Amino acid sequence: MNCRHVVNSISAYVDGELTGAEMLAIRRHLGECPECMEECESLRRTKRAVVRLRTVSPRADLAACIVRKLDQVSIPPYQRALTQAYGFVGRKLSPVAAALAVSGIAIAVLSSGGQDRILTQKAEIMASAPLSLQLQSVSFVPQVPDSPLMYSSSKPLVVADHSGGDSFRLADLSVR
Amino acid sequence: MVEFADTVVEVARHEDRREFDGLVERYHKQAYNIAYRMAGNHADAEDLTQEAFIRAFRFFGQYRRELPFDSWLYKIMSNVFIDRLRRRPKAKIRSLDQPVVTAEGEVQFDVADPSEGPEDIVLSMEMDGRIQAALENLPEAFRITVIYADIEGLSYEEIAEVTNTNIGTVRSRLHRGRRLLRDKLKKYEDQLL
Repeated sequence: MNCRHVVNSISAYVDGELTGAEMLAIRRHLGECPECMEECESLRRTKRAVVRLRTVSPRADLAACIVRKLDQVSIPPYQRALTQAYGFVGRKLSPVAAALAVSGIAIAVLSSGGQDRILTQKAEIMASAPLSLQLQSVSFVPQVPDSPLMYSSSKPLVVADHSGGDSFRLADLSVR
Repeated sequence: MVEFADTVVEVARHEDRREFDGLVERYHKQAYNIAYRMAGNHADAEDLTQEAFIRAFRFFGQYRRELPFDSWLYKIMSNVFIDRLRRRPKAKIRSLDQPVVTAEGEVQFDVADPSEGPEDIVLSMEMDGRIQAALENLPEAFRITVIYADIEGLSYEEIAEVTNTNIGTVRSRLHRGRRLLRDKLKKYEDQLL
C-alpha cells in the first residue's frame, strides 16, 4: 500500500469505516511512515474538534411553537390521498403483493410446462391434421410489384404434392 | 357507511397528529442542534427546524415506521437547507484570513486570541466559534456530511441514505471536508488537542 492510497483512505480509517484487512494494512503503513502518521493525527484532531462542539439548545418553547404551526397546516385532499396510498403500498401491500404476484407467475409457468411445451403441442396437432387444415395456417405475404398482379387461371394456386411426402407447391404462374 | 368511513379516517388522522406531536417533543432539540451547525445562527436554525418538521408532517403518511424518525427528518432537513441556499442570493464566502475592506482601509478579520481568556469555558466557546465559522466556509455538501458524521455520529451508510447519495461519495466528501476544515483551522491546531 502506497502513501497516496493511504492518505485517501485516512478519514475512513479514522472513522473505522474500512474492512478489517484495509484497517490492518493502513495501520502497518502508518507505523512505517511518519508523514502519513502526521496526516492521520491532524485529521483525527480535526474530527475530535467537531465532535466536541457543544450542543446548542433552542429556546424553551420551540416545540410548542412548532406544534402550534402544525395546526395551521392544511394538507390538500389529493396530497393526503396520495400520501395514504403511498403509505399503504409501502407498509402493507408491497411485500404481500410482490410475494403473491411472484408465486402466481411461478405456478402458472411451471404447471403449463412453459412456452416451449405449448409450441411443441401446437406443432404436433398441426402435423396430424388434414392437409386442407394445414394450408389454412399458411400465410402468404406476396411482394406486390408496382403494377397490380392478377391471377386468372382455373388451376388452383397451391397444389398438394404427395410425391415427396406431405408437402405443397405453388402452381406454375405466368404474368401477363 | 360513508359516515363510518369518515369517522375512521378522522380517528386515524387524530392518531397520526398525536404521534407526530410526540415526535416533535422528542426530537426537536437534536434537530435544532444540527440545524444550528448547518445554518450558523439561531434565527435560521429555528426556521430550518420548523420547516423540516412541517414538511415531515405533510408527508408523515410516507414515513416507514421501521426506520428511525431522526434519519428521515434529517433527510428532509438536508433538502430544506439546500432548497433555502438555492433560493437565497449567494452568501459571500470569506476566508478567516482574508482582510475585510472598511471605510478606514483593510482590517484583519480577527477572533480574539484564546490566550487572552483565562477561563477554560471562554476558551472553549471561542474555539467553538472558530470551528463554526470554518464549517460555514465549507461547500454545503461537505458541511452537511461533516455535521452528520462528526456531530450526529451517523455511519457512512446512514449519511448516504440521508443525503441521497452513495457511500463512495460520502467517503470522498468527508475526507475533503475534513482536510479543508483542518486547513482553515491550521493556526489554532495546537488548541485542537
